[in-house]
Amino acid sequence: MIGSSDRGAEGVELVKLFSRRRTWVAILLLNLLPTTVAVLLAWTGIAPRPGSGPAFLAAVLANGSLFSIAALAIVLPLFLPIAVAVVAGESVAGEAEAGTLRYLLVRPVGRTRLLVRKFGAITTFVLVCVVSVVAVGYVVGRLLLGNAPLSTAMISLSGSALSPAQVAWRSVAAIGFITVSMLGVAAMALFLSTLTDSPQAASLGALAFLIGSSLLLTVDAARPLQPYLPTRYWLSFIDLYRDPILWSNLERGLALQGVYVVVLLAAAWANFATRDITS
Amino acid sequence: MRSAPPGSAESAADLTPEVVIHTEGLTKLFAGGVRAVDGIDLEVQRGDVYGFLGANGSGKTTTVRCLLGLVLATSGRIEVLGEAMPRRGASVLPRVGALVEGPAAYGHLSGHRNLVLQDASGRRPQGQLGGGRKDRGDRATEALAQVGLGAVGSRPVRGYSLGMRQRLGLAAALMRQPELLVLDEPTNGLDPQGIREIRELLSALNRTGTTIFLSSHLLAEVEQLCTRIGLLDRGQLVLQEPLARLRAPTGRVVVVSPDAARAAALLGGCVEHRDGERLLVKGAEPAVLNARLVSNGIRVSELGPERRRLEDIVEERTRRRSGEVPR
Amino acid sequence: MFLSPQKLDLRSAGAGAAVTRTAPQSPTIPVRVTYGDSMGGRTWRSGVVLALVAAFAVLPLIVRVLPAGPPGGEAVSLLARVRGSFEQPYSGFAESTGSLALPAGTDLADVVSLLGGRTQVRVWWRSSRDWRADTLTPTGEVDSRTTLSGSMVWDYEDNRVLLTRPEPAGAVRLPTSGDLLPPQLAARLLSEAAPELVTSLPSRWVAGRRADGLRLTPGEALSTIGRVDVWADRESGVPVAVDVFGTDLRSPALSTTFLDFSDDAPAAATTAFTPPPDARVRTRQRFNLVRAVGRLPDQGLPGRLLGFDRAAPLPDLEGIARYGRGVTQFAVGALPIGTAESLRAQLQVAASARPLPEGIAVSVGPVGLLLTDPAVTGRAWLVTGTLTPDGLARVAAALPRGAA
Repeated sequence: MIGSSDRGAEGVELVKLFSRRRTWVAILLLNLLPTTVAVLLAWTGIAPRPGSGPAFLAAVLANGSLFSIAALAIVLPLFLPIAVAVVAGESVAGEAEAGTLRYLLVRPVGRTRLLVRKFGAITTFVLVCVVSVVAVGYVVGRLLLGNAPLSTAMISLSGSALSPAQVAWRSVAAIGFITVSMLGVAAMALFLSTLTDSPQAASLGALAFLIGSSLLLTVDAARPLQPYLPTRYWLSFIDLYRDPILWSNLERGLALQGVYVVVLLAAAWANFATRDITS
Repeated sequence: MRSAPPGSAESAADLTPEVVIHTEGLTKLFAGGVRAVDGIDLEVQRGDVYGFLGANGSGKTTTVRCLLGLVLATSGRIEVLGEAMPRRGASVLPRVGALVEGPAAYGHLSGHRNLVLQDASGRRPQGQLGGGRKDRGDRATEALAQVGLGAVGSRPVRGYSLGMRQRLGLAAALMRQPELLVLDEPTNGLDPQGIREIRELLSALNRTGTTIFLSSHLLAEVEQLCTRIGLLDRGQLVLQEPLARLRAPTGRVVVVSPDAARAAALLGGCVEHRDGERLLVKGAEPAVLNARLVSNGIRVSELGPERRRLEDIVEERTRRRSGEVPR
Repeated sequence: MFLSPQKLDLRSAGAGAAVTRTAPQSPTIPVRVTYGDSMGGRTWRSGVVLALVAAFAVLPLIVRVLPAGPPGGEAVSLLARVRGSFEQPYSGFAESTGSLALPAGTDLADVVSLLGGRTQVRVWWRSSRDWRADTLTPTGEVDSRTTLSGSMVWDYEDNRVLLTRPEPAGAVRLPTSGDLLPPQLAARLLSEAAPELVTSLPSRWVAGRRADGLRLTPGEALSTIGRVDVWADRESGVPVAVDVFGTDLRSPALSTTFLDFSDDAPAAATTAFTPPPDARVRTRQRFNLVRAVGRLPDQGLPGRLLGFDRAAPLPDLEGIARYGRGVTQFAVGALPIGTAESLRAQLQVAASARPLPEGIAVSVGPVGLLLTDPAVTGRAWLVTGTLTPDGLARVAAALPRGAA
């Protein structure tokens, strides 16, 4: 009780999110997949054929620390966005479904303020997910796949050596980039969450948006559209491990997510601020 | 018959009459042209226990949601605690406690934690309206004790019965000691014992100056608790009146007697109506009438001034309108 | 529910007993005030969202359409500037797209993916004797560094370095990703462009810089290249975008553009390379297919084919005859039987493979390739170049029919 009662109003959404068992199950499942891959790699010693598996997976047998980055690449295309879509789709529609939304609004919590807080909580959730995947990947990689001394230089994608300090700050940047990359999906799910009182519908809608985008990326005819697809620059986080760093796609990825977040949050705000709450 | 609830009239009298809820032409059209609320002019004064009556689907909940800014009115004006709603919701709502269409809480958290979180989610309280962060836990405990949940406050809400949830919802509404309580069907799911406890709690709160706006379809609940009645029928307010005036003696006396025929003969033209053993007598003082009947050897099993029942008023109002304005 | 024991007659129960305020009988509403918080609020908020969407959608278009100033001068002088810019240092990030996809094979696969898909290449060009081009893949990269002493190709995912001897000038080889960089491609396509075939184009923005355009229309009937549009950076003269059009002039068969471009000279440290300690280092010979063709003696190829003159043969590659003029270039060589059969098997599963009477033909963007059927032409000839299938067939028909 004391812990929660000492928090400010802005922390309430975080308390609600992280006091829910579902949230931790999602984070656990998210870490289960890379851990399974690590176990299988350690057991069989078969690295994927070059160019076929996720980034860095071919290299982790030599350096277990790299598995933290490989784990990110494993969960990035599907698992992470699913977790984000589910949590973000829940945010407003879940409150509406449970009936707690009306009590929040008569508390009163301003509607715009509520959206901002929800989005803040989702962003924190994404960050916790990404950091947990990196941390678990690092531990699992070092335990199962070889623990080269920490001072060992990592070979960049361009074949040059990166010092441990360089790898550390680039990994922090990668965590930040992936977190931001998820915000487009999060904003979509939040927007849909203000349209419907069914959290499932909101999550599924956001997933449809995500899968549609991934699909269009593979269709040549959709090429003019591709620079605007939300998933277009997701995998560009590995540009941080090129030497010199290729900022171009990272910048485009951040700007694109920014546009999606601004537009979708504005749409969520326009809808929610004037919506009749009948749940 | 019971007398009007005590206290409310006296406490209202010390204050200058102040309108707490005021609407003018409040109208809400939902998509598809459904006129859920149609030109309602509500007036609730400070110290009232206002009974907002109406059948299910008559627009009670929509009106309550409009008052609280949850549903935005299509047209009309709403003032709550002297300020326009929903525009001034940020300063009005902290002074209002509400229970709208059933309670709601996070099932995985304890009742106490739910109250604390709900309190923490709003802006920091100002003045004496319920203190700040430090005593939040204490106020939650106090509110739980008030509604009789003191013993189970630390258990997850998931395991609460419907009645316990209802009490928790009330506790949440009470936690900030509001000036105005807006309660939509507050005794839903409670057993008779619980209903009595809640009624006593509300009466006590009203005595200390809390204005209560109680929406219900249960006439008994309203009759026992309220000082003013508003009756809603298919979106329109068909009656708004102090209960005492509605139920004032009609000037006739009801006599029930096994010797009804003899009594009718004795009283002659004073008998307005006879129905078996039951007589309606006009223009008579009950005590004098009783003495006269008894002195004539007529057995009287019941005798008293006629008062109208709320049920009859409701029935009459809604029936009359349904005849006049066919939809 | 009701505690009263009485039941009153409603009709007699004084209808006017209470003065009540009834709802208005008519549907007119006495006070009709609409607030900004209500329906009107929805309208202006939606307006804000629409304005945002419109702004974000239109902004890229505006940047693209924004006039880049008056043309930078005559087409002929621009052509001269472009040709003179070959040793100009630059660096950048280019994307090239071909409009074709083929299934993967071994040797041909690299070429196919170059010309058929989207390739992203980073380049640091200090001079033609010291440059680096990184071909990016989603999970790694293949970097080639070219110096006077040859080239080093680093493949991250294979953890391998391939060393290659310096290539002779004008060597016949399959294209690499470096060839798709706008400056390289423009240099190749414009090398023999006659001034009368070149016209100027309106300037445009490329990678945030003003670029002046010129158009080459070769006008060769048999050429697969209908037209080449080149835009050169106004500051440095370095080509920054090239569109190659085939016979279909509406959309380019091959398009390569810098997304980022700088005309500053890259640092020497960027192009330098030391193989990582645990990488496999191999020395590689020239591309096998080319060697397989070139090591055969000259099969009596004519000095002139379809009106195109034969170029001087290259050392060690006497078996390959090169013909051409301007952008219309092709090479002819005879394949050993085994090589021919394995190549034929690869081509037969290619989506765009087209059987001709003379053999099997494949077009990859502007580049056509024909492997002749020995039963028809007496020998397995490989004809490749910027020729239409018709042109390839006519070359095959004109080849000498030696004994197999």
